[in-house]
Amino acid sequence: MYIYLPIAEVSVNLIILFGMGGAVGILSGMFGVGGGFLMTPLLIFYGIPPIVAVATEANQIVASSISGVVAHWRRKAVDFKMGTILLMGGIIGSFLGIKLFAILKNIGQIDLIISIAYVLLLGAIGSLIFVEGISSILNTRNDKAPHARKRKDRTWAHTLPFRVRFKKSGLYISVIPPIVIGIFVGILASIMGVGGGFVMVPAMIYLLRMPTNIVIGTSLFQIIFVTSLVTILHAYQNQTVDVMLAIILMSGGVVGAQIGAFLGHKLKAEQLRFLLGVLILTVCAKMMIELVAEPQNIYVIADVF
Amino acid sequence: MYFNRIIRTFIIALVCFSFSSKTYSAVNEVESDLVVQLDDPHIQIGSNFFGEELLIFGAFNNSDLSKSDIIIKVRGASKSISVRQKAKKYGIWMNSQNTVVDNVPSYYAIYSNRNIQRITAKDFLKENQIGLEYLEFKSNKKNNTSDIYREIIKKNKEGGIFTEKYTGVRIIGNKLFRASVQLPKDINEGSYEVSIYFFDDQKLVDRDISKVFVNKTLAGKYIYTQAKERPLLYGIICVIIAWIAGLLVAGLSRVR
Repeated sequence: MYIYLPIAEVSVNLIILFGMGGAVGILSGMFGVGGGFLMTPLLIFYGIPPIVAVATEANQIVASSISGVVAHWRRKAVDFKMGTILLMGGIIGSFLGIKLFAILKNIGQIDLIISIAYVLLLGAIGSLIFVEGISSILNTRNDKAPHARKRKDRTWAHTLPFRVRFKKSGLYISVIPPIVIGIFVGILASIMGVGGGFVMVPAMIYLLRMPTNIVIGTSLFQIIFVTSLVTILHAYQNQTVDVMLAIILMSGGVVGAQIGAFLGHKLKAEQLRFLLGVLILTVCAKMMIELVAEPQNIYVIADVF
Repeated sequence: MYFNRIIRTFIIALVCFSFSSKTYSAVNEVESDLVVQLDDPHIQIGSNFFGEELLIFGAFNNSDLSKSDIIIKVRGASKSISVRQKAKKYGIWMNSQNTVVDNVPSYYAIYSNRNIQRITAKDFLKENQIGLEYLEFKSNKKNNTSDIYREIIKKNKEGGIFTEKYTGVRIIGNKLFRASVQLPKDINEGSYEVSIYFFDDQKLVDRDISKVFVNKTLAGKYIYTQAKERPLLYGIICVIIAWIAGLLVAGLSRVR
């Protein structure tokens, strides 16, 4: 069953797209990852123009993050003050990212940069998750509890000026590190169409030393607003948000996330984590091959608007 | 689906024959005319558009078509395209040289009853841009353009955007000709020019030019125009849709 996407200007198979949304939804339900970093490459592989894939995926993440944040909010696991500071950085980053996107698009290298960014990012996350998954399997085998990390020690993030008290997180730190993290995530969101949770969450835990139970809720809070802004900016500047595609992905994602949450309870997600790592590395490898291998066609033909 | 097609073909055949008999009877009054009928001059790119066929049929007077030749040219609006040549730099393939080529048809099809080179003289084909090799592209670069032009034609042929079918026009019962022009799924919106050239003994006897309009269906067209004309509002609406969807899902999971 084919459907014509008005902005991407291609006909796509509805079942396949819905299935892709569902599959990535299952992963996000199981592992609590946003899934943007898998969805965008899949869309590109399927033949959606990269600039449309990035912008539309940002739109989808808005929906999945909202449905995610509500649960955390009910458990009062969101540090709104920290979230707001991260968001301020995110807003700056989004504008910077969109500007960069426009420049790269004009010199005809945006597709390349999107691919390179994905190879680097997926390579890094994939190997981390893979290694962590393996070691957690080994740990449970040895029946050894993972080391409890000392959380109270200070990092360089705590020595900078402009300190503010974050009651919820029990922190008294400078606002500079959260703003910088926010900027970085905003740039990622606008160039790659990802939420950036996979960067923000570790940074909040290891750099800012935030308590782990409020980290995800807080990052989702920031992601909602950053991806909303990125969607609007892409729609305004590049006209590349395909609402039809976004709706298909959203509906697929909803179904998938429910299944994923159910499976997550049944299966030992810790042990499956290295499978996620393998999956991410596979996508990464495919993108890398496309960059390095001799292309079938050395001419790239595109419309001039 | 098949049933529809059968019915459609049947109706067309009916119309066709009534048409031909009419022209046949009108012969004495109107001297020699090429009569052409397009099945559907308005084509909609639906949300499930996966290619459509444009049926063209016609007759030439009462003449016996067995010694005639017919060339049908369907051409979409011209557009400019950019051709970027990939080159290996730092171990990866990246876009380097950019060439802008103008006057590229967004769709181009030649349907004929036999090889066009044998139908008429080369000059005529060249003058009317009949045949892929006679398409006149324009470019901002002087050198190496033939490679690039060849590439454009190759790529478009693969996607069914450019076609040449020397068996595409069928002559039925020596009185009628019929062609079914395939429009691929990724066709652009716009007006398409259908030119029909009628030859007798290598000489052009008559020609007919008509238009076909390809439109996106209402929903698709509405989305497209909103996105282009009111981008800010469109973006905000996309975000609102996502918010509603997200809140709905959150609400649903609470109920359970």
